[in-house]
Amino acid sequence: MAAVQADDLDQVVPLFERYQGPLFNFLYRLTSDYETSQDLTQTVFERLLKYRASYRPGQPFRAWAYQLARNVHTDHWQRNQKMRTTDVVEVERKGALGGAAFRHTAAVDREQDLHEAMALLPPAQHEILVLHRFQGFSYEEIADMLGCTAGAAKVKAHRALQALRTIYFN
Amino acid sequence: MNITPSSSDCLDVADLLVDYAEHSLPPEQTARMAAHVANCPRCQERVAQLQELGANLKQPSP
Repeated sequence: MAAVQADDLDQVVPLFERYQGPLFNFLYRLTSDYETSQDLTQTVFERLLKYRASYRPGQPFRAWAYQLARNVHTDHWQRNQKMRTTDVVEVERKGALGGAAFRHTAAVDREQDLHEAMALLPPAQHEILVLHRFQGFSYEEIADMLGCTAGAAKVKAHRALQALRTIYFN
Repeated sequence: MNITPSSSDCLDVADLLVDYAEHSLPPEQTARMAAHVANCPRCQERVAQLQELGANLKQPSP
């Protein structure tokens, strides 16, 4: 990253090759949309180039790149917030994720149901579970991103898991 | 004699439930949690659900 920061832009290629997959997975977990995740991943790398001067040498690159991805996702989510709320209300109205209907679906496709249950979490809880459970960030790394202590990050992650449990099993 | 725990007992242990389900508590807290969970069907169910959820969350990424 230091080379990219020094305007050796060819060096963005190995960064892209290494992080494009994990960042796409992160964004896919948050958006549940393949094409949107591809677009947002592209935006992350555009911002990486645009804001390369803000990278501090010695700073863990992975955490910095995920911070860019978090910001890209937040911008996307805010743009689509109204539509998303409508979607959730519609799902709840139909009862597709409630009671027996949900349990039946869970037996058919647990992975998909888990994905849908996570999408019903508040965005901050959804994000912290994806960062910790799927992207493998430690509580210390998440704390750096969120601007809190590692202990607070752990409590947030545990409460997010409890909230997911309530949605998934009820 | 077993004593059925109250809701406030469940509230007291709520923040430890995830660590207990994932076997990451130190021995003293594990013993305290085990004593509560042994007599609390609600927390037994919560622990089982958290363990199932934890296993599902380890599935490969899409």
